[in-house]
Amino acid sequence: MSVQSFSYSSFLRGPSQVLPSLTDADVILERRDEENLILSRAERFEAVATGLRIAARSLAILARRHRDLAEEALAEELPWLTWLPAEERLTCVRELLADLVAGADTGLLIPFARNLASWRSTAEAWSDPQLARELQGPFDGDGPTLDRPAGNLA
Amino acid sequence: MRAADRQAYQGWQRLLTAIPDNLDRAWTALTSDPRHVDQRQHPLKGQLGVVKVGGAPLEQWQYEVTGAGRIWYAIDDDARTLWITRAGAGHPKQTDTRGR
Repeated sequence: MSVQSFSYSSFLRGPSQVLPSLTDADVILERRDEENLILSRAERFEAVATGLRIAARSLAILARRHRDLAEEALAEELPWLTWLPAEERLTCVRELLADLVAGADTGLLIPFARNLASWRSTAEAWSDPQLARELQGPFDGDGPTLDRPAGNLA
Repeated sequence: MRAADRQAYQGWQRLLTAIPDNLDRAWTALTSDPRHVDQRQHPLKGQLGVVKVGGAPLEQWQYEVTGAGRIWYAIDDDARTLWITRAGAGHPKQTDTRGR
């Protein structure tokens, strides 16, 4: 589905300029220093939420009967798993599946999304072997204080 | 906020030269709420999730400064210090966007 972006301030100035776009697209309202907002029509929003809920519940049912298969299915959707150390891949898939199953039951998918972002960033760090080695430390803790950058610029 | 070692300090200085405004926003965000979680700021998992700085095991987090710029930091609650463990360009490969 298509998405169109507008600045939040232009939406506040003239909503009627933005709302017609909702006929065939969702709208992202971009805010400078805050999280962006999304405008959607109710029918489209409900369709996505219902579809997602049913898909997550179906996977949850599968997970209860055939956990290995559910883990395999989820892993196929996460190609960056390959960068994680072998022993962490299974932990990652199990955690995410548990979050997804809990989310399917409660409708709360933010924990899943946050855990997904954490694991994905972790995998990205592992994709650079030197970076991954360095991030494991240990660090001496002897570097200088880092002042606020704007203070340095002034 | 402090650099965990010399190399972390050099990485910070490079970001300061390249993207000072973004780094200023990062500094403000991290110092005001080091455990805020969103798509840009989150804890690392597994082995990378805990790191020793000066002997103490600390949580390690990541903050996305720009599309490619990253800061990794450890949170020392006792010393009320954020240790920048590494700073610089992130992963060299583009990951598949599925699963976002």
